[in-house]
Amino acid sequence: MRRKVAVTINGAKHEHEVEPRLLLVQYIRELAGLTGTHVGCDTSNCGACTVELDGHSVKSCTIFAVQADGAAITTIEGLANGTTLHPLQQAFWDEHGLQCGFCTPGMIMAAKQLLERNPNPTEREIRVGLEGNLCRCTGYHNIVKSIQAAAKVMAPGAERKAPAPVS
Amino acid sequence: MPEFQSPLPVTTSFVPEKKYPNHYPIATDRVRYVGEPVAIVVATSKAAAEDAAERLDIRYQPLPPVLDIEAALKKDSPVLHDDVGSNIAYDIKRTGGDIEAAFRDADVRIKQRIIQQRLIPVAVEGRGVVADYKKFAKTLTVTSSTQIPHFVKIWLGVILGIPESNVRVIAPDVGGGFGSKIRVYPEEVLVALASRRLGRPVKWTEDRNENMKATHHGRSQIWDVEIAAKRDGKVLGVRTTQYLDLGGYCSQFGTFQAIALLIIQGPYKLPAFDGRGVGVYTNRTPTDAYRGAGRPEATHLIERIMDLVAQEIGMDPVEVRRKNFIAPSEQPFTNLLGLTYDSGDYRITLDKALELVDYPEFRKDQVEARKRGKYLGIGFCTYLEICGLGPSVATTAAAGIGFWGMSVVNLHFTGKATVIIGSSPHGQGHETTFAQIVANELGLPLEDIDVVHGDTAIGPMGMDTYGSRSASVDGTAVYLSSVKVREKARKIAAHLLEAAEADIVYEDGKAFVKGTPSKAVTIQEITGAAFQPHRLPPDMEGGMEATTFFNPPNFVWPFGAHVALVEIDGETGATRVVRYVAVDDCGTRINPMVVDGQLHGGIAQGIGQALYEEAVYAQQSARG
Repeated sequence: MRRKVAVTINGAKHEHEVEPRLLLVQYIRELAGLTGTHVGCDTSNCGACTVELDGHSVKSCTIFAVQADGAAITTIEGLANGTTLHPLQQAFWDEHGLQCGFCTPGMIMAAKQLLERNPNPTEREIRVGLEGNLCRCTGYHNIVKSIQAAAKVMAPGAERKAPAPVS
Repeated sequence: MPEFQSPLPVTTSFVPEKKYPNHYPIATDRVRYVGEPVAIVVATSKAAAEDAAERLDIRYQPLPPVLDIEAALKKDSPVLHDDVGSNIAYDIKRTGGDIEAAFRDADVRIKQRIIQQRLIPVAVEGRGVVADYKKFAKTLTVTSSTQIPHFVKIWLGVILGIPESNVRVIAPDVGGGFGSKIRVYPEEVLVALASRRLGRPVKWTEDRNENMKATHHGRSQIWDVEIAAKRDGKVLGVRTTQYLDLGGYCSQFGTFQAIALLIIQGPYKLPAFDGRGVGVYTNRTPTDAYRGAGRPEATHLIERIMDLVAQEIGMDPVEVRRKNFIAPSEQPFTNLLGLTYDSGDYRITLDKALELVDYPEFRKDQVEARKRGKYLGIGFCTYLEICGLGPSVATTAAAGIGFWGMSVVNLHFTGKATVIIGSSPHGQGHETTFAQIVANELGLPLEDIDVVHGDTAIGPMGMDTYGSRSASVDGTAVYLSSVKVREKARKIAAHLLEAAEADIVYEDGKAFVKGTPSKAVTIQEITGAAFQPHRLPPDMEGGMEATTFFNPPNFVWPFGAHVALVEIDGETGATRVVRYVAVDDCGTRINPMVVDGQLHGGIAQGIGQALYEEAVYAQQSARG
């Protein structure tokens, strides 16, 4: 008993017949072929699978693909503008906010929502805001610094310094 | 097991005396730990495979389990491996100095038991394997989330009977390891076997539940220690036993954790050490390397010893450490187990850390806070770490370690460089750090240097990444290959400039005759000439490539002082780390940001063990 799912991911339309039990993260990775969204725990603990769904950051390992029918989804692949990285991506690079990089897509997608809700968060607000995303490498220190740096660039009225294009 | 021409590998290093059973990738007659593979289901989707796995009818005859170290050591304990004969894998001594004299001369004698609880490494990426066996070409390509692609290549060949030249292992960007991806795992063999049987690619990815049970654990040790000390704070001797829970089998590097016995002395002038190591089998997940693997345990033990002595004689723990430090004038210092420290002034890092936390002021605050019912604590660690695995020269007697560094620095026609490294990073930033080394020696722009790794088909055998070895061992190999390329560049430049080689200066990617930098040839021009034989000296081969196998003469010995300030709720015992100061000397920092990042992560995992983490097994199964 397969069901039709139609979603928009990073502006592109996708349509597939899927089993109702297929998780959204598997849909994104295996059917849409976007493997930047990772699976870390299958249980909503680690946040590696975080994507944006209709403007809300969600853990895509805990949503069925059929529940996303009709939704607009943004994944990490949808953040860069051509060869210019999103300010959060650039800040994670500049501030050494990642080591193995496995948690990073989810961390950035969660941080994006955090900054949209609170453009100028305190260190404490960043740490609390990202408690649903786990990192084993960095001790979080440089992740917090990265988000603080991105917040400065993204703040309304901030002079946008164009980051270096990706080589 | 006719499918397997060899059991899984177990290193002979670290504890050569150990007795260990054959460990095949899948259970044969008995299942010895939860997480041991018992059957393989192959399907065309994850869901179908899970459905099929649920329908397997596996019946077990329950046997009495051995669930911890103390149970394993009991005389009437059930024995896990009949071919070992008991649950004891090894019972070894590592000693130095006159321990009897130390205890005879002591003013105080202290006994303590210290538990190193079992931990689960939990890299955020679990393990994943894709195997593709081509039946007519008889080649096997395996992509695996591993720290050790080169070792996996060797052993897949040996176990499955495939010539090593027909096996290729790729470790792409790997999502963290912390030691947990340091072995050849049963699943790597089984997935490759499934591909060979089915004649098509087979993929397996563990989920977190499997990761918690089937990927090895770390620590799981009990330490008993007796200390002999003088009232003036001098520690005279340490007698200790490390009981190590190896789990259901002896993992490939499981006995690495016994290296602790070689380095308990740390940065202190300990006159006598009597160490015993006992490794046991239990019905728990095998243990192997996890973040430091044996070294944090050694550091924790000697640092606890310093604190216990301080407490016993009523002396400031900082003073006890100062009284026992090896003096800089005694470096290089050979420790009781024959390992030689290269350098170190341990007072400097301690003094700096104390200054940063304003130690005298903290002690005053502590007294004041106590009056208000608040408990402020301070903890010190003045560690010395054995890093850079591993020199064959310094260790064959003690532990039999001989691991080299490998690099290839290969300049292309246009002067761009491909650098093949023997290490296999999974978050340590070798692409950046090693490119810096090449850029520094050859004067190439960073963006012209591509560091590649993690594919056994691209270069000679490397020794992969573990044991805090990459920067010092493979990094040195990268440096040496760069120097070889630079020396060849100087020879070619001398030929092009019609000068004597001794007069050639190489600076910032250019070579010129001393005194005439305006008539320089660039490394790009030199490299171009290296591929045009008519422009080379007549006796020179073409190309601009150098390979190095670097056998380090010694370990490296970084050290430092860490201080933790904590606040404890007197009512609940809840502990909060208020401040943490780390002063470390790791030698030259190639990339300070990467070094800091490694420290942040290490400190977080250390705090994790101290306050938050433990893998706990129920003493009885749910069925009783």
